[in-house]
Amino acid sequence: MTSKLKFRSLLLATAVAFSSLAAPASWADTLRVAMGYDPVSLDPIATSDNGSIWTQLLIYDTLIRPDKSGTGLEPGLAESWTVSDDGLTLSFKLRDAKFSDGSPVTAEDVQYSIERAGSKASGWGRFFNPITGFEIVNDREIVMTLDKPFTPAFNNLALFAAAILPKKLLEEKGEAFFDAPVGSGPFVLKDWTRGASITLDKNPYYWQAGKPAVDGAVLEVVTEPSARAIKLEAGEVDVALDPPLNQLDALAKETGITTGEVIPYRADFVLMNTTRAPFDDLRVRQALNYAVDKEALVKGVLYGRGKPAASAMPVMKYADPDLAPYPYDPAKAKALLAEAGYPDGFEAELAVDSGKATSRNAAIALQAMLQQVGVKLKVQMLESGTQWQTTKAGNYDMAVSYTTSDTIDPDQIIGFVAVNPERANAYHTQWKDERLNDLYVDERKTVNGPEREAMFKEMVQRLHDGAPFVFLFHPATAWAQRDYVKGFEILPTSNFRLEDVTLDK
Amino acid sequence: MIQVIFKRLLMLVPVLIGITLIGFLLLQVMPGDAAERAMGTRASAEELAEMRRLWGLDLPIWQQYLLFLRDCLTGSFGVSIFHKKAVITLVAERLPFTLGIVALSTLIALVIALPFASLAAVRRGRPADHAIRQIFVALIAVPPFWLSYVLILWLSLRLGWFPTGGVGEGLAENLYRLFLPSLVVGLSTAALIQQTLRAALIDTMKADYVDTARAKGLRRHEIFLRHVMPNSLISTISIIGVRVSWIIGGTVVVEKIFSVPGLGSLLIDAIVSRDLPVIRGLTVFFAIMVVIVNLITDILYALADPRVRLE
Amino acid sequence: MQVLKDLLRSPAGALALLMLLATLLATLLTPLLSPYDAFALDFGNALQPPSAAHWFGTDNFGRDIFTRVMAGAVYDLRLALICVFGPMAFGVLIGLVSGFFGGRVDAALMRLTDIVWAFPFYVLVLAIVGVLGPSEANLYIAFFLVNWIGYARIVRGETLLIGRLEFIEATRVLRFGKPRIMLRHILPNAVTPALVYSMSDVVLTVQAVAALSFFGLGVQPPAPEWGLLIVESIDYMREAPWMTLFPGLAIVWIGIAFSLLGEGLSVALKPKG
Repeated sequence: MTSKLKFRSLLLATAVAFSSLAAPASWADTLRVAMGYDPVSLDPIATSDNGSIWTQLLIYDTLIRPDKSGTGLEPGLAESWTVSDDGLTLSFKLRDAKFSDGSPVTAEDVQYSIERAGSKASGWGRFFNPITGFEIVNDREIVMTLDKPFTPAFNNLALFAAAILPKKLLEEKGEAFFDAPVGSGPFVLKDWTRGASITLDKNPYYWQAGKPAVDGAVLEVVTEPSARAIKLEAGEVDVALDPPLNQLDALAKETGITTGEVIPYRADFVLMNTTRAPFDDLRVRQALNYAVDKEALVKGVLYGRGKPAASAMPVMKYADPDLAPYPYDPAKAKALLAEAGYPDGFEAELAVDSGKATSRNAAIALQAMLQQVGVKLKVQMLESGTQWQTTKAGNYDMAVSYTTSDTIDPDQIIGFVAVNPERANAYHTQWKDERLNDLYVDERKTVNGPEREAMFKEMVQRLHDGAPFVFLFHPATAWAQRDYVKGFEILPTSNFRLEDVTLDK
Repeated sequence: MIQVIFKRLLMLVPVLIGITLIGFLLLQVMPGDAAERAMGTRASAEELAEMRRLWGLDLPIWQQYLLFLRDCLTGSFGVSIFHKKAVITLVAERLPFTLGIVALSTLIALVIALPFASLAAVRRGRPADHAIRQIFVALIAVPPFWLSYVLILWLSLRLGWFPTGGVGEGLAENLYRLFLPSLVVGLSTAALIQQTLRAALIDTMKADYVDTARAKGLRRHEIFLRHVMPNSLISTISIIGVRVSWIIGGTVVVEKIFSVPGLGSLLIDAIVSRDLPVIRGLTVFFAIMVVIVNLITDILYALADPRVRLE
Repeated sequence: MQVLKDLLRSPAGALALLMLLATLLATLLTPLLSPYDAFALDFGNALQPPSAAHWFGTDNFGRDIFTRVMAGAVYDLRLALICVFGPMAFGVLIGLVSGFFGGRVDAALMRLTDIVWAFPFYVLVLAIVGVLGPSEANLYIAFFLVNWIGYARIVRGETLLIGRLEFIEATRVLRFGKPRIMLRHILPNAVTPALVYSMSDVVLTVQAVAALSFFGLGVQPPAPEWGLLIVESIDYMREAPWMTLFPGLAIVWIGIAFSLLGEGLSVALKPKG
């Protein structure tokens, strides 16, 4: 027995001795952020997950970038630009910027990067391949031409996938370039321990003088929302992204912690398989929209952080501020159902992505709400990959999902959720509206302005009336941070900029 | 003995082939497609086809299997679609952390269970025995994810004794950071060990040779430490050996909550992202580990107890 | 039913049966005990601490937790039965046969168990659930396929040990039939460690299902299975600790009940003489 006691006291002593390590070593001027995603890759043309996108946006630059309000574009690597009236010619004047190895960013790099982004190997090719011609005027001026009008082309250059990469290095190293990427963004990758953290150093050559104010940043990968909040409270990180929504109030009350939120380009909705009865009947689909109390959802599932949705389009450029969501009217819902031949309701399966807490909670709430009008839903938790396959194959009745936009141009989303035939066929609902399809073709050829705006308004209205989805809400994205962190915010494109952050410790 | 061990090793070959075959086939029926996961939900059909071609997902199945077998034999176990590294490299990066948790938790479990199992066995049938047993049962019953958060909230947040997770550099810092997750896993393993060890102790204490030893005049302590305990430990080990696969699985939840980049979280991430090469490679790797552990356990059992023959 | 009588005679067994009976009764009588529906939402009443109106408080949807915990008992008892005792019966049989006959039969069976047992449990479950779809039934299939092996190995080990003991040699000399030796003499001794194992297996199985729920693969919401209740309530741990506390206590209760049952059984099943 004695030897066991000795061992245990030794263990205890060791633990106590190590407790001095509990306080983090001096992290002066390094910003520590807890985020829920581990990047998959740092190649801008090969990724579409948040972890990768957010990290890439810290290392690379694009010619133009969304401004903080999210409705317009501001200069990035391009100091100024002109777009011809017919939208076929885009000219850019580059600023005097350098990559993190000191070499200058030239028009050649721009051409190389955009061509690469539009190539067959790129997952985002279709966003950039309408740009068919490049003319290098000089080291700092480039003209891009399109042979057919494609209005989103310009906005798409603000996409992370249009990051400007150094041509020479990339040609030299090939894929290995991304193990130690060189970009012109505010930070340089110092270390990436997969599943654990990404360490960034400040880019000494960054084109915004005096920025970033911090010497470096560490993005810690913490997949559990509660764990992120706890890390912030323990002082192990300075910013916690996406803490559990219900904990936000408690966090804000703690001394030294502030919270923030923004409604990004995101819309949540329920897909309905219009090839199956009863979802082929417009009245049924509308009835379901009337049967859902969106205000209650925002309050109960989002804890008030968000707003009801009138549409599957996020609130972004050309969104119609006057379009009202379907009001909560269970009586009308019942009436419509009866009219369509389902006075006692019906049964259906509701597929949900098990990994998303918001979707899960919404599903449970929906189940109870629709029960009141006689619609009995059986919730089917599916793991993300499975849900996508299932809806794509049309093997579903209803499915909870959402969409986010990476660009400020609504063309990306409308093509995804409302157009059939297109890459997703009205996001797997197979709903088809010829007029909307025509408008889609037109809007891509129309330059930005009131005419294009009217087209989108009409498309969104038709989507609303045709109701292939049960529109839910636009949830807010929230974060919690220490008071001494100044200048941190999340943009509507869901990413965050760190070059403006200062630590007032 | 050597001959028997050699025979057993030889018998491993069909087992391993069986493992690779089953592992491979099992995954062919999984819905979901790695190319779509990698490219995101908005990729077009041509882009996906191109990606599949690049990764060899469009080859006939038997060809894919042979390629996989080749990968296993050459030691790479395949190349991850998402990480773009050989599976074995990923395993090498993450194995230390999972192994650390497994080892540390087993150690903690033994330290906790041994004294209580001994106490319970010696005071068998009396209130102490019953109380200990029920307390340990309660320990197993406590859900690990709940316990993890309770420990984090209490020991990390309130007392500041431990960090809330993550890993560090060097053995000392990692042992320190892995202590809490290991404690969680160790507590349920402790309960398992306590029960089994106590039962084994009781059985062994009744054995004839113990009476003989007592008749020879050896004192209780000596009998206990020199004869009863070692024998009981061995039969307990065989039961723990059975549970190794479970313990490794049990680290998955803990790795997620404490943000430990170990094999458990690698597996779950690979499953979610349909990174087939990683799932396959990791499965085979795990399987090989478990088979080896079982073999060693059986050998130890046979060595310790001459009554049991290996074949 | 001598076994039952012996069981009742031991304090552990009696207590266990009492606890299980109480659980069963509470579950069956819930409609009388509680006016609430386990699935009805009531956002206005969300996150209420325990009170006279809601004995265990309410959750983030306003559902009464007492009702849900009682309703959840059904899931977990069913899980215990199908995922533990079913595989146990099967595994014990296989282990007995394997250990007793030895030779090629044993080798083949052990190789088979080696192969299947080597697979990380989660991969197997995911594949099955992925093919068949996540549901309770498929969960049972997955557990059945994997869980029997532990028992088979333990019983085989014990059978090998016992098979060599003198009194078994005696029965051989006396030419007792093989099935008789297996069932009457070896089984009662070999099964005891399996029983010990199964009692902890019940709780571990409930844990495993909860862990699967953690990843969205277990019992599906809004089913009030205890593990799932806890998983769903983790984010509310500080705000509403009762949400995790009561399902957790329920699991501990069941765990202790089965553990006591195990104790009672190992006494009741002891071979006489």
